[in-house]
Amino acid sequence: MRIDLSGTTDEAYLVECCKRNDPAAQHILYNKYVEDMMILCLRYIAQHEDAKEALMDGFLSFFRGIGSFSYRGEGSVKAWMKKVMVNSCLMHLRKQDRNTILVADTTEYEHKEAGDDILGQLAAKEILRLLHELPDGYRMVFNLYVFEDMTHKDIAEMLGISESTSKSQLHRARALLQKQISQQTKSNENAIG
Amino acid sequence: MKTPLDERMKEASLGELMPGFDKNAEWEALRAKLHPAPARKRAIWPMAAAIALLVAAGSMIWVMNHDNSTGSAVATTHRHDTPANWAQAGVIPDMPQRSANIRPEQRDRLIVSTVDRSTNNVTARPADPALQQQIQDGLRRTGEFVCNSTPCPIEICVTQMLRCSDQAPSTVTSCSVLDPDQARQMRIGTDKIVKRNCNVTVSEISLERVATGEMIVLNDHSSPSTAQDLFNCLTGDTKCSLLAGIFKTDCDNKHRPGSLKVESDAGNVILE
Repeated sequence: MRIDLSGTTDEAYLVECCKRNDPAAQHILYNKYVEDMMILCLRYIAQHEDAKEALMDGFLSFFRGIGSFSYRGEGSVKAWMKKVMVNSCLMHLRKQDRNTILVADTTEYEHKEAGDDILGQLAAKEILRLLHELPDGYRMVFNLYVFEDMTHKDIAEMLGISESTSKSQLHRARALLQKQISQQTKSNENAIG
Repeated sequence: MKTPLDERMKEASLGELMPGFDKNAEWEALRAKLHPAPARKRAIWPMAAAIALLVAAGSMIWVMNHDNSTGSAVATTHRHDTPANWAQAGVIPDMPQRSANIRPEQRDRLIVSTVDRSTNNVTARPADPALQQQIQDGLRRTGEFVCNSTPCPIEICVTQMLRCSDQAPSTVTSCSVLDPDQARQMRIGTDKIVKRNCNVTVSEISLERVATGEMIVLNDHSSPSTAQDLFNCLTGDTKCSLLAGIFKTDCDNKHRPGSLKVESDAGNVILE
């Protein structure tokens, strides 16, 4: 007997079905999260085709590894999926061999998010454009810290760098973003004036 | 901790950021990777069917070739060269299948082949049409009825070597199948052309258990009986009681003795 899962929103049940490799349940979870995951991938990877590849690999890893996932309430599926997807994107960037160099910096930086606030006033498309202009290393750390809400310690472990390097990369990323924003503001003012 | 930047990205729609994204197409690609088995089955089944057909066809060809060759190892390729009018003369050149429903005459076959003078090997060339006509004219049957008292059908093939002064050497192979308890006169080649300056010798007689394919082959050197001994016995030229050979295979799962004896002391020739 085949159960119609199309109206099912119970993620615990869907996860159980996915553990049995049920394509209908997989399709429901895919439909539910594919757009968020694609946007996530776009934050890390500028090229659309590359981002789609990372998305595909991420979903494959998610569904193939779902047997080891334990449902822990609302939001746990998406949180786990995001982790898998971030890993997929980072793997993809590493494979691309873009000579990403994360330079260590001993300077102590203040924890300030003023730049993020300014960035948050821009449209999503504009934010994405500015992120894509960042070097890969800056972008990775910025994404992990700002969007994935990871600590420098976690980022350092994940990327195999020191905490101070993570901090310096974040600082430089913010500085670069602020510079880009101010340049853009000036050019907009000139255009108006 | 939520930041305005984080919130802004969450509110964003993919249609705005990546207009060309086709989530259904991506799903199909993903599904194909997640569930490759059905796709493979579709690809494998026709291939498996084709392989099965090829194997079946190959087996049929092998069986047919084997069937054609077991009766006479000398000239299987020449049966199709046999003139059609041989059938009118009572010689059916081909034996398409072996079945109890087929009349005995239909289970007989005659093969005529030429022989290479230098090597004495049978060649692929059909025998001279004039010679074929002579053989047709000189066909003979056994003088006595031959009865198969063994439990299984036996095919007897007699191969004669013809050396005529004006033609290339040829072999004439005549085969007859005798069912269990069947008694009939066998076609046994030719001897009338001897009168036409041809030397005819019996080079080989094979006795095959049709069910198993096992064959006893007698020739000039076989022991305890030669091909000529058996030929003389079958034609009725001499009375005989001889051991043709021993079958090793069991044709009817009753484990009877495998020896094949030929007796003609009491009149008819009996295979037992």
